[in-house]
Amino acid sequence: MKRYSWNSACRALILGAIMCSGFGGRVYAQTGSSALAITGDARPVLKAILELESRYGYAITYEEPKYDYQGDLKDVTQSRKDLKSFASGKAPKTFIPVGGSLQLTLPATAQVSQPAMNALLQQLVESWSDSNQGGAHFTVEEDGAVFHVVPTAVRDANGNWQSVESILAKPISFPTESRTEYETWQTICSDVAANAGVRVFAIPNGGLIFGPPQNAHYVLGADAEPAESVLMRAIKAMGKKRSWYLLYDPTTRAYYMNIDEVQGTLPSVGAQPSAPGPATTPAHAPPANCGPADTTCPP
Amino acid sequence: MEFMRSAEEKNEDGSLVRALLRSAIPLLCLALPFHDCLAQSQPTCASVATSDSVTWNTVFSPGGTWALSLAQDLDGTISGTATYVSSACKDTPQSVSGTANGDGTFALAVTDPSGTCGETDFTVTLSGPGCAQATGTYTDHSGLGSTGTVKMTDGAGVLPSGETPSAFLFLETPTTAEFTMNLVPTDYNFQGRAVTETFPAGLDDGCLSNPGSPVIPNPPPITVYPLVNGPGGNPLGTPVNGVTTGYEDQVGLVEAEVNQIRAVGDAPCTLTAVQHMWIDTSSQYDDYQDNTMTITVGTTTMTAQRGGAPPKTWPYLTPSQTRMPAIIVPYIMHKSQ
Repeated sequence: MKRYSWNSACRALILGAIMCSGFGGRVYAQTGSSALAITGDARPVLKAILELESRYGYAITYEEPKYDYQGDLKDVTQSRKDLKSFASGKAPKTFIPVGGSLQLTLPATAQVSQPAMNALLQQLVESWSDSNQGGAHFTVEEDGAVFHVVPTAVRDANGNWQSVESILAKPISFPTESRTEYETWQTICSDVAANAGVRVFAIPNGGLIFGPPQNAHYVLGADAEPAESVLMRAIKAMGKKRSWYLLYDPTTRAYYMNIDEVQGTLPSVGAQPSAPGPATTPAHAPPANCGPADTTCPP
Repeated sequence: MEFMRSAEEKNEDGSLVRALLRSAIPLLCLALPFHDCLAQSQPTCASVATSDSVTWNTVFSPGGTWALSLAQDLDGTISGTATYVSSACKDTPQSVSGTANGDGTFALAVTDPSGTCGETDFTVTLSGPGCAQATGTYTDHSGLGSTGTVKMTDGAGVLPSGETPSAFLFLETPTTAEFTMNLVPTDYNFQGRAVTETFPAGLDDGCLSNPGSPVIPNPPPITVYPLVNGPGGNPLGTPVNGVTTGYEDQVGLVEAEVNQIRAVGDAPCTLTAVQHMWIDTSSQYDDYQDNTMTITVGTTTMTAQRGGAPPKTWPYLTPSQTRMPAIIVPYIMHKSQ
């Protein structure tokens, strides 16, 4: 039986690989380089944010507006896997954001200060707006060590720019009760949906359910409090370093509230857990991505 | 052989003798014919204590499960304590004395100073890799005079030979199959140790990684399952001889994601992740089993499978936004059940 010792570097490698290959499009960047280039992606601003989170450890939430203008959408119906099961021209229409490309100048240092991170994000949203691509403009808000990238404008159905407000800025209310993690996300999303008049689905951890039953409960309520603030409190109560990415799907005409852990070294939204939960990583855990044939993970 | 003798002489507490003897075996195999080498590579087990003190999980049949903490002197004298894992006597540690007979067999006696929990003599023979297993017979002198077999396993080093499912639970929100797994052998007490699941190869994603998907794919997480009973522990699995050797593991996908996958025409599709199961062995982890986790999203069903356990298929007829309205009817009937 071959034995292995814990090697966190291996875990970082696979997480990084997944981060850089998740959505199509391409990210060209290397540690120490000064430019981040994203080409042909449906959500280049989000992709840049994920890269910045991974590099610098700050939690950066992201919300996109509800796209209405046809010119801001890309018809990918012909790419449906099940296209052949429909008569010609009868396949349901399938759309994704038209997206685009962007380039960002990054500092050469491995770490950035909070003001520098703010400046970097300002550079991101401004360069995106100036590029005249896609159907949304964004702004950056700072909340402690957490940054929020929220929409400020979107094109209406006629292609005219109009101001929009984050759907998470509106107040929500729900009774203070003990709920599981998933129930908590569902409760928040349900209230946000009622406010916004659009369906909002909670997708924690990529929607995947692997591992032990999530029996930990959290007591949370809200009384006319902005949803963004409630989300921050919920994440803090759960004690994990997390961020959210509220993505609009033009095909199902619904929002998907992705709630994922943030990679990196800075403490961010998460703090100490307020309730006991299942252990996540042992002190002498086995390697996450080291198998017997993996020579990069020595015993 | 000079090497062996010197090693034995240098060892003051007897704890390293067998380890050093084993280290000499590769050298012997260079010089001896293959069959002789094999014979040499299966030495008689000399000690019940490979370190200063070893805890043995000891199962008496008929009878109960004991934890024996044993030490052995250079002259073969054994001493230690015996604690019932579960019985009225579990809070009454008893003393153990015995002798190593020099031929791989050991005579042991458990005595109870209080006189309330009986006295038992037994003889076992050590065997197996690392001399980490022992079998034998016992006689209970508490008045019943019963006899039976006894099986001992070194509590620090035994690897599970696998897993077996003992229960299933299926949830609908989120859509999850929950597998209760017992470690094999099921009559061995793995309490106090922990199994961990990892996914070295990440997720083989046939459903979520389309360009423009509103769902951000995540790598499967690392999870640790403490295998202990009681407060703060994880009282899972099927109790065997009064102990628990199981844990619960879930496989599933949130409902909204299933619907989104269907709406954009990606169903049927499959998500697969190979799960490496590890268990802590002394200060290290050893992998003991791989399980393939599979989630298949069909157009009207969803299936979850974990390793060799039977798969679970849901009649998962949630209405997609682009499907025929006819499927809404059975969906409502299904959800109202």
